[in-house]
Amino acid sequence: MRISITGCGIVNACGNDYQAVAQSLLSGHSGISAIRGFPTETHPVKVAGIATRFSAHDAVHPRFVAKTDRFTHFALAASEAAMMGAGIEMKLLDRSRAGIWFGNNSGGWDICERGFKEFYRQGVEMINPWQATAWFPAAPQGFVSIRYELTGCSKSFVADRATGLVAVIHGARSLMRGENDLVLAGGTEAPVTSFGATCYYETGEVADVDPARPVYRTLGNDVGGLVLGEGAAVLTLETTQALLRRQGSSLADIVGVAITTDPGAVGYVRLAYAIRQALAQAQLTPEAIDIVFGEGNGIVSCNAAEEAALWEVFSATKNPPLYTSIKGYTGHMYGGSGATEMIAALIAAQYGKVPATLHAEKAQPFWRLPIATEVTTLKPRHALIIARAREGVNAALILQFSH
Amino acid sequence: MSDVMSVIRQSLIDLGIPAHEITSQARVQGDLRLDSTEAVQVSLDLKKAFDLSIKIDFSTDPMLTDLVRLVELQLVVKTA
Repeated sequence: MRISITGCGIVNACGNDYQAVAQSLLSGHSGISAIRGFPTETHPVKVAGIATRFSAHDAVHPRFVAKTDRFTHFALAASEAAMMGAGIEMKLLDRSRAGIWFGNNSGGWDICERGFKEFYRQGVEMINPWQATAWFPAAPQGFVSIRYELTGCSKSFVADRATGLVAVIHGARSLMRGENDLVLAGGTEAPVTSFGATCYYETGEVADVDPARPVYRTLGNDVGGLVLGEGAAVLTLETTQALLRRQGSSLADIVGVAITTDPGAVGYVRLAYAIRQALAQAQLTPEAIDIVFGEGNGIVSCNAAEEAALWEVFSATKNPPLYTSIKGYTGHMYGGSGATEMIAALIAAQYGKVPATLHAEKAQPFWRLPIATEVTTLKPRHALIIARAREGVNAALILQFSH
Repeated sequence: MSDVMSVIRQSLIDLGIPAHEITSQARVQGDLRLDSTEAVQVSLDLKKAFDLSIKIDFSTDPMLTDLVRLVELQLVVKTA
């Protein structure tokens, strides 16, 4: 398997583009902050990774702003950056062979919450006409399709915390099956509204963080939970043949992917199997992996399962890979995560520096792999990306860089 | 500019239509390319402003001046 990443677009709490996010990750500057978009005095969620510098009016075609929700705004902005970065010439593109494979876990709540208020305060006739189309999780796929008139095979995915990476993997597989020549893959999430954050809080997995000290300890032993984040990451994926035809260039190649399911939150055997499957598809041994951009999300059971799976695969290697989690910078973005970790790996390869896991000096005691507690000089040849959902869905993807 | 045209104009601007395209002779579909949901939003804005139920009939692709006339007529009927 070899699928080329040819462009990327990213929006999150660290910034609105690749350079801003790179600067944030490599300087150890987190985007986690106290929520100011709705009153939090009595709300259980008070801290999140919020894209405070993002303006839909600056980044999205004006005809799309009113009728789409914030998570679609992110997706449209990230898609535009990815298409531009890849140098896709729309005149030469066979749009019937260009698809969109996005993940989104929980839809859009900005417009939906407004619709609830309209319904209860003004009556059924006054509900805004976008209540349904703006909310539903396939909206980003639909509006990006409309924006670029792309009609290739496309799908949207919901897979809890693994949503984004699952979408990328299926997008890559659609290229391998010959369904498309170009795929926009990744995902988006905007859960930081009063109702949206409440839904996530009810999972019992959101950390209780003091807004006066807004930090996300992804590997920490003193919080035990995740911090929500909002944002999107989109990659343009192309087959080697398609890339050669248009004489484009590759940022990195996806060389192995796998999706498995463990029976429940604490099992790890199938996650280890997913990593081994991805390695086998890439025709690599565990020694080849230089760095892991992990799920690492602060939830003790999830971190323990991920650690156990990684140890099972890599403990016998002479030089186990360096592990890092970047969610302490952005928050967990569910649909927006996964592709974000992949872009972080691109940043590491470009700069020869691995972003530090924030606050890892107080890591949970079970971690045995080396952790990037500070920015580490390393030019990775292969990176492993991992995502893991609440009920045990695992996704693993291997990137190969040519230096 | 009439009150009705002002409401329609603001509604269209809020939908992202450039102000210079919003003329009394502009047709809702042929020129402004309104889709069905955008037309509903314009109707909702008119309802909020004048408490009238206005349905924009795409089959005739009315000009904005036609729409203004329709609303003003209904206002007259309502106050009669």
